[in-house]
Amino acid sequence: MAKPSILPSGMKLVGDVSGEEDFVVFGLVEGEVHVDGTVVVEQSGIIRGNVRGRTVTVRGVVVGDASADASIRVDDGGKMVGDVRAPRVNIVKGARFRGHVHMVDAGGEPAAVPSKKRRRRKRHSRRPDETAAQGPSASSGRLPAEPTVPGTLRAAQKADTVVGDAAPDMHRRPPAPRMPVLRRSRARRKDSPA
Amino acid sequence: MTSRSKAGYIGANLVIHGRLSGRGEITVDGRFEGDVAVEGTVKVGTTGVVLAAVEAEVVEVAGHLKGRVTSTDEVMVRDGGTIDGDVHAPRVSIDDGGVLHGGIQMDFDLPDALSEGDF
Repeated sequence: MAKPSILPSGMKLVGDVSGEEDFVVFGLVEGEVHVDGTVVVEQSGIIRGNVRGRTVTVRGVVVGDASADASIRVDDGGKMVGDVRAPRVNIVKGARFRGHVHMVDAGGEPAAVPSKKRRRRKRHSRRPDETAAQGPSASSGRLPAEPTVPGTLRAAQKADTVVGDAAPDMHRRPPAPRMPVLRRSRARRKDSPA
Repeated sequence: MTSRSKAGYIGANLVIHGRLSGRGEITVDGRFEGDVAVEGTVKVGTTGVVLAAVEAEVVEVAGHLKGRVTSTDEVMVRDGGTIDGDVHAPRVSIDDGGVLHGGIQMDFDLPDALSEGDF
């Protein structure tokens, strides 16, 4: 697979694409894309239809569901409307995304997280809504309809990349920033009686 | 990356069913079934199989093309290339080793002396 297959910008393909190849889209595809290699939708590229590959990278636009054997990545500037299904899913900061995220391992089961990491994360989380989102029922994948938030968090640790719009900052935010706020309020109190 | 975005490529292990349209150049080393209507160049590589009506400015066949070919400029059948179908183009060339099964329709003028006949 030295040379990827390419649909150039200015070209439109209405139909289905399949095979053991890498496929790079600069143009417009209306139809199914199902390859064994990597699929890259470049900035000018648009796919309207379902996409399947070993990895799928979206820098342009995909309207349709995507599934990958390895990973799916919606890059900064990329837009995607549809569900994604892969062991690893990265929604990079700056990406636009509407749809569900299903993180499954190769066997189709929800991706497992080492219990160590999960515990450590719980200790850090102090907000009630966050704790609920990472509760045992959600993180064990018993609710396949909405594993979006915990799934995204899992990928954040696993892939060590920025993931999701809201998710990644929550557990990384330490309690430290509260301190300067307290000091300021104390200082005001001292000033006001004097 | 810019050169990549100009020329399209369908790899040897890729199969496409459908209709390709637009502007530019594309090389098919894989398999394409359907229709191709491109303002530009369509090349069928040595491993390429195109089962489609092809409309383009330039068509160059080193692999196998089955279907009607309509060109506004030039059609070339290279050594090892095969066209199964009628070709309609201003210029058509068949190299040594190239095969064409079908008709060729080239539009051109004949000397005035022959203009009374219907050639």
